[in-house]
Amino acid sequence: MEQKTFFIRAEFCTGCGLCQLACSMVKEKQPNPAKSRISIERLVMDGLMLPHICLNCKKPPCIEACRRKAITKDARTGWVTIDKEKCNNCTLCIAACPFSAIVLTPEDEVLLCDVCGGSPKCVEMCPTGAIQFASRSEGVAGSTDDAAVNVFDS
Amino acid sequence: MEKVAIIDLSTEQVVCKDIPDELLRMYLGGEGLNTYLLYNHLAPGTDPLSPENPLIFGAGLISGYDVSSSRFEVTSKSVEGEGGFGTSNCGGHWSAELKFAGFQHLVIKGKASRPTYLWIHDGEIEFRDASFLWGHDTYECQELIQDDLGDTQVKIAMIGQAGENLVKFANIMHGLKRAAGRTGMGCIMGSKLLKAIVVRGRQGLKPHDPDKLLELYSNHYRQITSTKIYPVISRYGTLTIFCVANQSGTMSVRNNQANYFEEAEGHLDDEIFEEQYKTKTLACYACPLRCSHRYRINSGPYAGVWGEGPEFYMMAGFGPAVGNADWELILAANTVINRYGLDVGSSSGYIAWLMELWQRGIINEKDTGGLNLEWGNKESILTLLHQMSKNEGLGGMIGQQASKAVKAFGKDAGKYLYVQRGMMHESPQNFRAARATALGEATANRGSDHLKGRCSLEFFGMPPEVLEKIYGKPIASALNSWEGKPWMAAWTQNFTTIIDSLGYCKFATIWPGSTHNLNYSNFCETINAVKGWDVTPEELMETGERIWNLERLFIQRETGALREHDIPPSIYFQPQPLEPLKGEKLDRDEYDRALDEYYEIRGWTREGAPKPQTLARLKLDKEPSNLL
Repeated sequence: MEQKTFFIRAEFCTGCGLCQLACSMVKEKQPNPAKSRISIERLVMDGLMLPHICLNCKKPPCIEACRRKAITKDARTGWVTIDKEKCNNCTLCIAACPFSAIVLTPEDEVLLCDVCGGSPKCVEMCPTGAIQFASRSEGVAGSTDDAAVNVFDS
Repeated sequence: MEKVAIIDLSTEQVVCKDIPDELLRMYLGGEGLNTYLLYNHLAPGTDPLSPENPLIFGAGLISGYDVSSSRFEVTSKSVEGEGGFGTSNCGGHWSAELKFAGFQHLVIKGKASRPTYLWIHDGEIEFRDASFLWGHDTYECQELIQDDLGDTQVKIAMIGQAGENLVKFANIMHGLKRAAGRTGMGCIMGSKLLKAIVVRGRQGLKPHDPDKLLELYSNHYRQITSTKIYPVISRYGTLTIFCVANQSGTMSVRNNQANYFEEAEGHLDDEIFEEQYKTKTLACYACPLRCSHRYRINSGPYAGVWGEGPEFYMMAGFGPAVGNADWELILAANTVINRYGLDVGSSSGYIAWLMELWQRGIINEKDTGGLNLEWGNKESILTLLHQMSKNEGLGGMIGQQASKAVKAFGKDAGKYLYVQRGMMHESPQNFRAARATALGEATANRGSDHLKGRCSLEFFGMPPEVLEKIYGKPIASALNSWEGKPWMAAWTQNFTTIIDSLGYCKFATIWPGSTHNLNYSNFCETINAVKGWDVTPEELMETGERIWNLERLFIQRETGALREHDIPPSIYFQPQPLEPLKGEKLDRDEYDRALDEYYEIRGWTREGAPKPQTLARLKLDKEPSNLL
């Protein structure tokens, strides 16, 4: 089947954080950017706003890093998710992720995006299209297939 | 429970208090609760620059919770003008961050023994040495603080050299352009040797009904992004007002000598800015409107200048008001005032005034220290800004004296200085043709204040049925009719006061002219989902009235100046010289009758003081009540 994932176009991100507000309200029932599965690194002086979210890599380094096999990639949808029952918040996945896409809360809990089951709220709430959810082979700016394939091979 | 931190810079002690629910509902937050705190914490008659004058920061009640809820208010006894009510509202990311850090209000008292900055993070407040920041502009200051704390994600409210040097119209700045301007809040911050307040918050907010809030949040997002104003404001920001204002004859040209600036045609407009200078679009917290723009000048005398902004008031203030039609000078001046932390309205207004004095031969090179103040002289404009901030030369004198500078130039000079409550009239626009706006601005509590008094819907010639539906009373469609306008002015003042107390951006509401944007009913939905209250639009309108009246009581207590200061600057009573709107002016008798009607609507005496029964109705008869 066609697999969908996130595409980031940082040049369009205004840093407003509507995505973070939406995510934390959906997932945590509270406005709290620190517990949003999507984060924005704001480099104010450069005017650069960098959204970080799980890109559902083809060969996710986080899966290889996890010793408890808590992170899995669904063969059908291609989505990478974390099983919080198995996770002990050791943060090895955070170290392994090349995209700073896995979040550590102030209470040291590891959070990973679950794409809201296929209709992510953050995308719905992005006013500029800086974050989009699209077919990974077509995308909006090219394929994500090579996203993190060679991290451990090189 | 929302919290207020009482911070004493002299003793480096902090006391945190929970805000009682009853008080919160009466004053909300932001401007409302700030005013309550000021009225209660300031001893009557305190000198604005003494350590006893509290500097009060307040995030809006729903700041952090909803779309476009990015704003905070800074309130203190004013140091600019007549020493009355000082307050200013600012956007960006600081307000929501303060809420995430666990506080809604900060009351800052005393004076630090050395330059200090406050580091507020997740319920903790630290006093840190700011000696290494003193003397640095706001851009440098931010980078130095990020290095000092090892954190690039902190949110900073700070002063530049203008605040340090006690310029009477110094701003408190946030980011590269966000500003709490007017009434000299940055000057008061500088007088306390407080360089910056740095915030980082990672605590969640706890809405009463999160599911409902999420639903409202999605609805409000769709509501704001489906208005007709949205595509324009999200592309050009307030710059889009410029051509409309100029072509409709409401521009201040050469210190209000004309009302249309022909030289601007083909040189100053929003599209030229977008094509030639804009490099990036940015937004405040949770706001889809994204009205902030980064810019860079690539060639010419200002090559390499970069910054953020500018707003319409910058464009008009350093454009027509000073007789300049060069976009690049406006951008260069914008960077300068933001780095120093100077107010755009006051600094451009005083420069325009000086230039008119030069034109009329009232001042010459002896008075200006050699500066040539011909209209549009770019070098002199920038030099005056540097002088103001550094307290040197003619500009320095203006920065220190503000409206009292008139004494230096003899009595004729005062004829061309358009001030109200000692505040420079916000120079770029001139609303003498627009009756509700003229009255609303002149009766605003900080003086000459379009952010409280501008009745934008007045400008669109809307059908009376639409106006009556919004305002609840008959209002004339015609710009220059007085019918219903005092009510429109009072209604708008209460409305903007509620917006500033809740922390919404005015551009997400019906205020700038889109009737489909957020209104009282939307505010109530959010408040009730967040707090579990049963607030109605009627209650909110009364809350706005309560806050407005407490501000009026403050002015009465501190200055005693009421009716005689509710009059627009003298230029409003002279006819406009150019089409369109040629010949329009305010008639003094008509204005006085409108003022009587306005006072009656407000429940004030003919002298403009709130009547005892009005205070009782608004539960203000026991102030100061010292509940916090």
